[in-house]
Amino acid sequence: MYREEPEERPLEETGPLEPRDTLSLAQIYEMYMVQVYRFIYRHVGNREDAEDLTAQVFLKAIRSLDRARDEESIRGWLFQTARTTLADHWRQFYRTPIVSLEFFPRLRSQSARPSDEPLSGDEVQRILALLPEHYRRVLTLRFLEGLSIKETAAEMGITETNVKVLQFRALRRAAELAREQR
Amino acid sequence: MDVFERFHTIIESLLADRRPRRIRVSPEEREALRMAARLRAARPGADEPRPEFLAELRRLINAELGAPAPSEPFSRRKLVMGWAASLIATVGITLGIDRRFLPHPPTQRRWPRVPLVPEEVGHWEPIARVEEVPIGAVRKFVAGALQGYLFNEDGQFRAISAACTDVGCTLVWRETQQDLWCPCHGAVFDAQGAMVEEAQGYEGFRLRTLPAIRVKVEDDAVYVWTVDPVERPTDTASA
Repeated sequence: MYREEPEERPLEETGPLEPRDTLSLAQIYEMYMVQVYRFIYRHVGNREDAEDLTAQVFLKAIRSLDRARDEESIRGWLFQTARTTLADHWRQFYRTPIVSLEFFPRLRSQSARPSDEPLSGDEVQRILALLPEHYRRVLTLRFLEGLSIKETAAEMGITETNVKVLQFRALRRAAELAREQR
Repeated sequence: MDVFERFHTIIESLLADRRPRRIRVSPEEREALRMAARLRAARPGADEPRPEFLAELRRLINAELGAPAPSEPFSRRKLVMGWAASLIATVGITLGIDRRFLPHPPTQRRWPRVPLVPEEVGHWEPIARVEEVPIGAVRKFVAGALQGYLFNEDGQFRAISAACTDVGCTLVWRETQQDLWCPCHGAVFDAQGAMVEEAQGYEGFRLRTLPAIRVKVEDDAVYVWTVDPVERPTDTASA
């Protein structure tokens, strides 16, 4: 179906009108597979979700793009689709009771913000640096070094139960800091 | 379960690169959850896609884009078929099964990996005593809302659903063929649950693989993870 409209493409871009449109479209998507995957991974933090959502994004994007477009608009469309797919993902799977939003007016305005970009490595470091020492420590050991609860408890000289409590509080505080930083 | 335990479960999933269980969370908890995901992703190399996934995605994209270049589909398809055939051959040899295999181009979306019986609604139910199911035996069972087949493979138990993924008829285990046959439209699944013969009237449809049912052995009894066929309150996860 893409091949049927070669006149959509400017001559100087395609050269002779060879039947290369489908292929070139595939090549464009190919270029963004890794980028889109990483973008999604940085939002969901696990491979299983990242793979499923990435596949969804490409299928949605391809199905809703009715004709071949230039690389730039395909790129924009892919990332826009990725954002809406992620938003749906969080809405559906971690359903937030609507009523409790009333008690979190600050969060309500926050969650309406479109700019939910994942944190870069630098930003992660900056937020970690702002945390109190034991919060920073527990998050670094657990997430960046990948230690188990047991190992973290031994490393920090606290009980495993305390690690569980601490890691949750540290995440909550880090989330607050991330919001304030934006 | 308190919030710390619930979060701990989620974090453990993330650290293992697995999908966390879907739970109901407060807005504040959700923010913490997203922070956990971001920190997990910050570990160097964590966000590298698997080559197998990229290959699968590439195939999906090409299929979705429609006919690739004329020489493409054959070679690609041959590649897929070759791979699938060798896989089936391997599985067939290990299980001692000689069987036909119908390769279908994977044009459909992959099914989401949702547990057959989610954590919050299920329970363990005993279905057999270990000595009743000797090595090599296959045994049908009904447990709660599920029915399935229990296999004892070299002392390891596993179970799959007995509901045909076409329209839901109960599958019949055929001992001689070592497969599961559907009395309604004739679909056939192998002992691992993969469709090996199409259902009549559904030609070209690749039926979903029969889901596995969780099994455990405790005190000489075999248990499966199942759910009662009754309606229950949905919000069991909130603290």
